[in-house]
Order: sequence, then C-alpha cells, then structure tokens
Amino acid sequence: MKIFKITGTYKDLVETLLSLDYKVIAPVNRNKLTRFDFINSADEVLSPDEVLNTVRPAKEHLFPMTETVARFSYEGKKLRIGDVEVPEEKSVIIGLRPCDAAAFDAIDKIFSYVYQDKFYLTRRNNTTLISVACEHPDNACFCTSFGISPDSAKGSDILLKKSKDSSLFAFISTERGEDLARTINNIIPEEQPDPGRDLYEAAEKNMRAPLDLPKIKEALNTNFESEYWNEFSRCLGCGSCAYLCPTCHCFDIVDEVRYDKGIRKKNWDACQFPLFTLHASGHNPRDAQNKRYRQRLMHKFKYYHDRFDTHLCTGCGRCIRECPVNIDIYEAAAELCGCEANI
Amino acid sequence: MENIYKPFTAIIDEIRWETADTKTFKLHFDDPKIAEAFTFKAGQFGEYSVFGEGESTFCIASSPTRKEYIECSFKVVGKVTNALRSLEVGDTIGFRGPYGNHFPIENMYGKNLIFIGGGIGLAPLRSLIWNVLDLREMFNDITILVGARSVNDLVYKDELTGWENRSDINFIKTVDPGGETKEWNGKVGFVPTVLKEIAVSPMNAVAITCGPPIMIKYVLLELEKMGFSPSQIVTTLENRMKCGLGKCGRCNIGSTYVCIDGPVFTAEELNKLPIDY
Amino acid sequence: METLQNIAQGLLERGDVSMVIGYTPGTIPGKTKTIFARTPEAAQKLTFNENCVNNLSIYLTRQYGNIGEKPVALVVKACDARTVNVLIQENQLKREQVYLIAVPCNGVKDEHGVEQGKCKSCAQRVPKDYDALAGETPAPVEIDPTLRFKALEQFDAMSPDERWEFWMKEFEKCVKCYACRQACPLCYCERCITDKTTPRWIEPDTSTAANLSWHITRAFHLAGRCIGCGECERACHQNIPLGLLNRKMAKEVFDNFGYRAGESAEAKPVFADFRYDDKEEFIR
Repeated sequence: MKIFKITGTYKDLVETLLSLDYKVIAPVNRNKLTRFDFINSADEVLSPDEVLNTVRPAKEHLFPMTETVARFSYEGKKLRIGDVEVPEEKSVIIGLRPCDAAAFDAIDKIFSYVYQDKFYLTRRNNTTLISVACEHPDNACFCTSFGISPDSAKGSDILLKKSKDSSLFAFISTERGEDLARTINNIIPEEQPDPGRDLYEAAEKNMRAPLDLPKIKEALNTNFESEYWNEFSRCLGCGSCAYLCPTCHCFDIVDEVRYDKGIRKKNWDACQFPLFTLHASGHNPRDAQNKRYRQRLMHKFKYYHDRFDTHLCTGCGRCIRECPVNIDIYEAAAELCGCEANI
Repeated sequence: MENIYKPFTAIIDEIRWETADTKTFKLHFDDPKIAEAFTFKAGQFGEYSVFGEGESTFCIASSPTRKEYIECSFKVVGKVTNALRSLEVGDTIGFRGPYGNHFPIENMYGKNLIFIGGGIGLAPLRSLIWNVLDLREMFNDITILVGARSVNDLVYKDELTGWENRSDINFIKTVDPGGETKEWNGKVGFVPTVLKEIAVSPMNAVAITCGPPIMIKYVLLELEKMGFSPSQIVTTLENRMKCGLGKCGRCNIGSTYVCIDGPVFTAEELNKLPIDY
Repeated sequence: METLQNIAQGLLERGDVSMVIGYTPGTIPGKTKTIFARTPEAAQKLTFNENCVNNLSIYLTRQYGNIGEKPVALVVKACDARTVNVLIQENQLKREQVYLIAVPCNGVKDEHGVEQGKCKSCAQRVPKDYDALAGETPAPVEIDPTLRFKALEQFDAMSPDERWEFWMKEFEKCVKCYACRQACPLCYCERCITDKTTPRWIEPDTSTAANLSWHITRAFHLAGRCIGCGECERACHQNIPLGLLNRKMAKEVFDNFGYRAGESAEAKPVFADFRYDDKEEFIR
C-alpha cells in the first residue's frame, strides 16, 4: 500500500481523469435515478459528501444487464456462428464505496473459475477502481460484517480518504492503481505516512454491528429445513434485491432473432423468480417463495463461501433500503442463528 | 480469451423417433478440426441450440468409444425441444460441451454392473452401456434392467432387442402395469418391483440408475435393502441449466453445482445434499 | 372503541380467522413490514401508523396460498379495500373469505417522509365496506375527486413527440426486476405474458424498446382495474412514474364509461359490462 497526498478537490481529480485516455464512469443523478454512468464533465458527478451511494451499483459496467455473447445467421440451411469481441477499452470507475469495490473481488471468483468469462474479465482487466471512503454510512450499512470498513481498500485500486483536517489522500494497493496514479498530476508522487482513520472510526459507530459470520454459517449448515424460512413467504418475489446487489451475478441466456439473423444474449436473472429453476417437465425444486429466499440467503452466506471462501455480500445495504416489503438480509441472517438483530 | 458461450456447429446425420414424443439425433461436428479434437466421457452433457429459440441441456447419449459422431435423445416438452423436433437431416444445430463430470468407469473395471433405466432416463446410461460393451472384457457380469410406462414409451427399441439377444448380458425389460400389449414378452411391473424380483447381489457390484425422480427414489431404497452401500450406487441428476459452466447460478443443490460437480453423483454424495432438486 | 390489536386478538382467540395480515414496525425508521399473526399473542405486534404504505391485499391473491377454509383477516386502508373489491369482482376470492379490519387513514408516507401521490386526492378516511373498524370514525373531509387526475394535466399538455421522449427516458431506466408487477395485487396472473416463451411476446432484455413494451402492456392490462394504490410506483427503485400510466388509463375509463375501479365488489367490471346505450357503434 502506498499513500500519496492529493492536491485540489475531488472534483479536480475527476477533471484530470477526464483529460486522460480513459472512459470515466462515476455516480450521477440522471432522470431522478442515482447510478454509475459515463460522464463528460466533472460537474455531473455526485459529490461523495452529499450522496452516500447510488441506487444502482457499478456492476452493470462490467457485467451489463443485457449483453450479446454470440451472433448467428442462416444462409439457407447453412448456419454461421460469429464471435463477439469485447473492446479492450481502458476505463476508470471513480466514486465507488468500499463495499462496491470489494464486491468486484467477490464476483471475480465466479467469472474466472473453471471457465473464463471473457466478457466480464476483459472489462475487469481494463478497469481501474477508485473508491471513496464513507464518512456517513446509514442505518442499512453493515460492511464491517465482511471485513470491510468505511475506509477499507479491499478491491480498490485506489482508495480516496480524508485526514482529520480534510486533506485528501490516495491509498494505492495495486499496480493498476499505480499506473493510473502516475499519470494524474493531482497526486503528489511522494509517499506519505498514514493520516489515520479518525473520521472513519466515528463513521463505523453509526453502522449496524458486525454479524457473527461463522455462527451464521454453522447455523446454515443445519437449518435448511428450519421453520424460520416461512417468514419469507411475505417476499413478493421481485428481482429488486438481486438487481441492485453489487455481487449478484446470475443470468439467463436468450436468443433474439429477426428473419435469418440473430444474437444470443446474456440477461440478468434472479433466483427470486419462479421460472429461474422451473424444469421443462413442470417440476420446480424451488416452488415456493420461502425456498427461493432461502436460496438467496444461503448463496450469500454459505454456498459461495463453501466454494470460494468469500461471502457473496459486502453489506452495501441496497437490498434492505429498496425491498418493497422490508425484508432485511441482516436481520434474517442474525435471526437464523438465533441472534438478536442488532440494528 | 475464448468465448465460452459460443457453440460449435453440428450437422444432423440421422433422426430417429424413439417414442411419440422422443427423438434421437446423430450428429457430427461441422469443423473437421473440432470433430478430430472432440473427446468426452460417458455421463457428460452438452448445451444443444436451435438459433433463435435458445439452448437446451441433455446428456450425450452415445458412447465415447464411437468417435465419429455424437448422439442425443430428447423429449419434446419446451420451446427449444419443439424447435429441435422440426429439424431435418442435414440441418445444423449448435453444441457446447462436453460439460460436467462423468460416470466413474475406472472404478467399475472387473465389477458386476447393474444398469437400471426408466423412460428417457436410459439415455445417459446408454452412453455408459455402449462404452462398457465396447470394452466388454474389462467388466464382470452385466445386468440391464429397462423400464417404461408402456411398450410405446420404450426408447432405443432396436438396441434393446440386440442387448436381449446377447449372451453376455442379463437383460430384463418391463413396463408399468397397464402399459403392456398382447405381444409384450417382457415383465409387467414398476422398475423397483422388478428390481426386487431379480435380486442382484451387491458383492463386487456397482448399480447405475437414471429415470424419473420417483423411480430413482424407490430404486435407491430397493438397492439399499439388497445390501448395496450408498457408495455402490451411481445416478445422474438434472436441474434446470442455462450456461453449463458454473456461472448462471440456477442448477445448484446447496453448494454443489450440478453442471460442474455433477451431473453424476453416488447415492453417498446425494445423501449429503439438501433436498433442492 | 376497539384497538387493532384487540380486534385481531379476539378474532384469533375465537378462531374466526386463520390469521390476521397486518403491519408491524420494520427494520428501518419509517418502514413497516407485513406480519401474519396466527396467535392471539402475535396480534399484539400489529401496528398502524402513517408509514403503513403497503397494500396488503396482495397477500390475498392465490399465489400466496393464504386463503384456506377459514377466512383471513386483513388490515385495510380505504384504498386497500378498493383492491379487495376488485379481487372479489374478478372472482379471485369471495367476500366471506376475508375479514376486513378497517383502519382510519389520513394519508401515508414512505420512509423518506414523502406523502404518497394517491393520498393527496383521497377523501376516503375509511373503507365503504368493512367488518370491524380499529379506532374511531374520523370526520369526513371534502376533496375534489378529480384531483386524482391533476398530475396528468402537465403530461397531457405535451406534444406526442415530447411525450414520447419523456417516456423513452423513463423506460431506459427499467432493469426488469418486475417489482412493479410483483407489488401489484392485481398482477395475479399465474403466468405473466412476459414469462411466456412460445411465442415470446415481450423481449426479456432491458433495451428501452423491450421495457416500453412491458410497461405499456402492463398498463393496458390494468385499465379499468387499477385502483391507484401506487404500489408499483413505490416498489420501483428506478423512479419510473408508473402511476401516471395507470392514472391515464383510469381517466380514459372514467371519462368514457363513468367507471371507477374498486368502488364496489358487486359492480360489473367495466370490461365485462355491456350497455345498450354504449356510444361506440361497433359494439351495439
């Protein structure tokens, strides 16, 4: 980890990035919706001091909602299948929160094990992540449960952090981050001592207390049939939680055709939809909403951890904030292992 | 990096109606280089596609010892299988694979094998059966028990006759009560009941079974009563899949991905999984 | 005056209902969550306040399987009760299968303190029809009922091109999470048109065109049925003003047929009705 001082403001830094040979993605409020999008000017960018986090995570820029993975055409009976190239464009995502940066670390695992998904990985390798530490987490935040914190550098190439006197520092943890930092003249190339985490220690106190993950996993190992899952029969079965989650990565594969040409697409999909696991025979292993919610929670706190030794949740709190019926994954995880949810 | 979602093209050389709603395709890869390089093991599966309709998952039903072609059998139930049904000889389909694990044939050498197949569930077993028959001297006694709802629902009818006529196979066929015809010379009874009647010995044996879930359930119970330990019983599962690559997230049973860790499981492995299939 | 908790407790003690579906405090200030109270003790957890925005009649639809031999009790605001009327009109349940516990309502707010659009034009403090009232009958208020179409004025004033641009910008945001559909008590189709694949009616991707076809289809399917509970719009985290579409359809139905959805469980649904004096030639 290298620590450098930044001259000027956060906005100045964004401006410098825009002058470089990168596509810049940052939090914006477009049409009453906060999300990560390509920007042309630093004025569009939401200030990290004003907005805690976007409704939509940055995930869609590495793993788009809909993406063509193959092309095909027929000439009479002759079928041709065409590949789809992923452009090797350099981009930088600035303004991520530590929870969202850590989320990419988690989903890297699924897209690179056994088979390499070039669509995700090509973009991932060409994207530099600059996160901004959180001074004001809200009452849905629980990143500290996952070894992350309001100023954690996990998953970030560069983390921006303030000292007690509000000077801005860049914490650089990767080569990719260093490569970018070298080209940014706002970053003074002279290593600094750690300015401390006073602001963030205070911030941490406003968050939900860390979950006891080993205890939760132990409980999940044995309570697949627990009555508690019936609680989630109130779940409406929409895809809000999955689609706003920075770590949910499930997808569907669908063809689209016009006359004799067409494309094959990967579209986001969600385990809360009944059709997700419906067999052609009519059999559905997850035929009720409580079973589907169980899958969601198990996947995040047990299955993914069993396989990749990492949880599929970073405590960003989006699913808690946006669930239309206030299903709270933190509360659910705590109560499943017999703990009082400490919110 | 390669595009893991891009299928090979394969040409349909032969189409057989197995039953009123089940077809078998014999396919060869369009690209001779792929045809040359392609290998698989019995029990593995593929993603077969009709472009414009989508992909569907079935096992490879032919034996890996027959290198010039692959075969698949499918029941016409959904969007893709309906599109597959309407294809003709000479048409091209997409194929991705082979995916998943395979039957542990290396653990079966020198053993007595008992195959128990029901309906279209015979397809994955057929791959292994022909594999074993092509290497017949490597195995001890072979018993094949095949069942279907009715005589019309039996798949691979010509091959069944061939197996029946071989002296090195103990072949039993059965149909569910009410499914027999006047000419039927096999047994009448549900597969687990017939299995009980023929009372195979668990000594130095491996039982391999596939069929409808309810059949598998009772076959497993029957085998255990006969003294088979769960590690001596092998089956193959299906769950809805899209990618076959461990990414799309729907075929998991607990932490186990059917597409990567399966589809072949021993009963011992199955017993450890939550009932999510 | 009986309290909500006491009414519910009594119903459960006597075994009149299998459960009471109501509100209980949520995990975030200003949010409430649903409770299925099955025991007299659980009834004490019921609450009603201005944050009880959800329309709980969704849990009466068949997909939830809550309606059994015994009736269920449901805590309803006036607007929620109108949804129950539509469900009864459409034969999704019978009146006697549900015990309506009415709660007087002066308007509800989301967790950010924003009053729901539907409340501004609502003069109905209690439902017209209920089985028990939790609290006192509030004093009637006078509000011009056509206020509910007020939001459309600005929209109707736009040129077709402007309107097109407006909606394309809105639909671009849709992520196809189907929270609008899932939160809607009247989207109870066992197989939604978007889930049908043979043939595929609506492309499942999130291109603006595919999103447009989904939302327009949904709005048409709710024409003359939507009571304007606003759950679709509330559930939409992408802030798409879905309520506008439904209100537009409601206005068309009101202007043409003088019909307002959910007013009575006995009324004929507008699209199942036929009158000799219909102004359209083709139907006579």
